[in-house]
Amino acid sequence: MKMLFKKNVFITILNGLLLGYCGLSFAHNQSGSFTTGLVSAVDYYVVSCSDDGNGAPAYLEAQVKDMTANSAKVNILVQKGTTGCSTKACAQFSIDTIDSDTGYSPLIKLSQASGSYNLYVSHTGSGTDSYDVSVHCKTATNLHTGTAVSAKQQQ
Amino acid sequence: MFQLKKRVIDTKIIFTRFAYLSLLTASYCALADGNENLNTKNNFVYDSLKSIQIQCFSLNEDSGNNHSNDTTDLKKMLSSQNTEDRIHALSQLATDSPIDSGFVQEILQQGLTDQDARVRAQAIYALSKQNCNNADLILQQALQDGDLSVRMMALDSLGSNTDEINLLKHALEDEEQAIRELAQVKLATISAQNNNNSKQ
Repeated sequence: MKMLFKKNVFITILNGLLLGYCGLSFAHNQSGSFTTGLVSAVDYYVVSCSDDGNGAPAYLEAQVKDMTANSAKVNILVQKGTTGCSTKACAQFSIDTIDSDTGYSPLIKLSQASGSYNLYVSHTGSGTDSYDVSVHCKTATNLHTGTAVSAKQQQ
Repeated sequence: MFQLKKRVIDTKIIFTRFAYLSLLTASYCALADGNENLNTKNNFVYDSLKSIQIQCFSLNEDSGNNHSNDTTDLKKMLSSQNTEDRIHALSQLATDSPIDSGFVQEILQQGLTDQDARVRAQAIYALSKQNCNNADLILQQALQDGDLSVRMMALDSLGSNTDEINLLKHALEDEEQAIRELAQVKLATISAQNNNNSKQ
């Protein structure tokens, strides 16, 4: 039994290394690109914020890095909820205006507690831009908590 | 005997699990590599770009100064196995930062003949932002590239002189909607600018 456990651990590590080799990431960074090149392209993700033991989510923070230097600039729009938006914003926008560096766009925060947040990535012009979105769900005391990103639409 | 049988069963389980997980990993890798293969498939233009020798000149007075730290970092990034690093190195040339023109020439030449289409695309855009001869010729070649990202970047890099307007008009007949769309937008912008200039 002990031997079997050791072997399973070995296999898990080995496959983890293989997955790492071909670029799969489990970090809270979502990379993508606008493969169609169309100006109207929108990539759509759903970010689920939940309590992973660190505490109940209070807000989601996100920013984007445009990884292709060209005329088009990549931006994100995060949205959750439809009521009381005048007191607590239901949607926030952020754009990376400098695409020749490694910096991200300004950090945005949406305080809409736990649940599903809609994340839309688009760009200001035609081009096959690549991007990286950094997204984290956090507690009221700024602790990182359960964050899961699911891709719904890729253009 | 029982111990031996148990070991055989354990080993079988291990192999089955490993084979299953490896299959999943291989499938993912194959999907990830699909784009890479597409990029390298239709690259007859890539060969023609190899034969063009570019020559770049200083963008500003400061570029003659010593920027060995910048160039060392850029060289390191450009020789990286990581595609994103090579793209990032070239994206830094898409600005008018003071980098030695000889070095710019060297890394652009390397970037334009990179196996990865995304790197070539970024080199095309960087070239258009630098002061290099043969840029028009290279842009024209890049517009024939089989990869959409290279053609998009070449189109994005075109200016408003007569030759470039002709290339934009030609791009209106491209098979890709994104190319036709960008060509239309650029032609409309140039037309609006010309109208404004003639009014003033």
